Amino acid sequence: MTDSPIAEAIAEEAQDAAERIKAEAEDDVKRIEQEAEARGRREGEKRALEILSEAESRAQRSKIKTRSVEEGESRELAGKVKAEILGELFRKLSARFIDELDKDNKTYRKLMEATIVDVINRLPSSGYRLQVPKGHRSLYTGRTGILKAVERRDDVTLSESSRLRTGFVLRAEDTGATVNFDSEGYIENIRENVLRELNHAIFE
Amino acid sequence: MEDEVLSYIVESENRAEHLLGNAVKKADALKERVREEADRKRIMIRQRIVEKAKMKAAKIMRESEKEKERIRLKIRAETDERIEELRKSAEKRGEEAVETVLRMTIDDISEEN
Repeated sequence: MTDSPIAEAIAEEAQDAAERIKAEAEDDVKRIEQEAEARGRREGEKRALEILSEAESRAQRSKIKTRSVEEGESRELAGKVKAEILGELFRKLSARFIDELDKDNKTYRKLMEATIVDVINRLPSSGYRLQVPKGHRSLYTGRTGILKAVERRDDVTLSESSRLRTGFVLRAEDTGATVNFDSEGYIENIRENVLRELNHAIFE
Repeated sequence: MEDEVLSYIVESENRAEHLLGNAVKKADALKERVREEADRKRIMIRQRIVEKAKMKAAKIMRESEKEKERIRLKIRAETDERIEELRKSAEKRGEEAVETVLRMTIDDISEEN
């Protein structure tokens, strides 16, 4: 009875089908493993590219920033040193300028004359009061004095002051506007021009 | 006799179905196990590549730090050199420049009048 050909055929067919299922399962296993490996590589490589690209950008930005900061500090430092040098030379020049004006009445008169004319032009008034240091009157009123050269000299009342050491104080009578002038202040006023010239002469 | 044969065939079919059912179950279980294992492997492969990239990135940053230090040193050396040049120029031409500019300033006052 057990040798029934139909039963044998059924058993054989079932065995074949089971073998096929097993073989297919084994193929699936291989495919699943291969796909997982490939996916792992793809995902890893994608993330790796992102990480490396980010690192490259960060490194580049960081280098650019360092260069920029260092160059800025360098410029600042060099500028500071230059300003110190020019400041020191300006002090020397300023002292020499005041010295020169003390010694050279002609130049001093010219400077004062030009300044007084300028002040009078800027401060219109019917009269002015001019105070000069004690002992300096002759500089302003002498034969070649400053007031001789000032167009509106008749409007100027001159007096000497023991409080003034150099320069003058000019007051417009109508408005009460006052200008204090001395050679130290003059050179200080043209400081920027002088520094520019010194810079040109030394560093350019 | 015919009944017996029929019954045997039915029994054979049942056994075959059982055999196939088992085969399918085993195959499914195997695939499920393999899927889980493959997923772990996927994560491991991904992680290994990412770790390598992180090490490379760290190297890039270390190199960048070194490069930054080189940039700093170079610019500082150039700055020192520039400052030295400024001082030398001032030493060499300062006095003369003071005299020249002083003369110019005084000449300007004279010329303005």
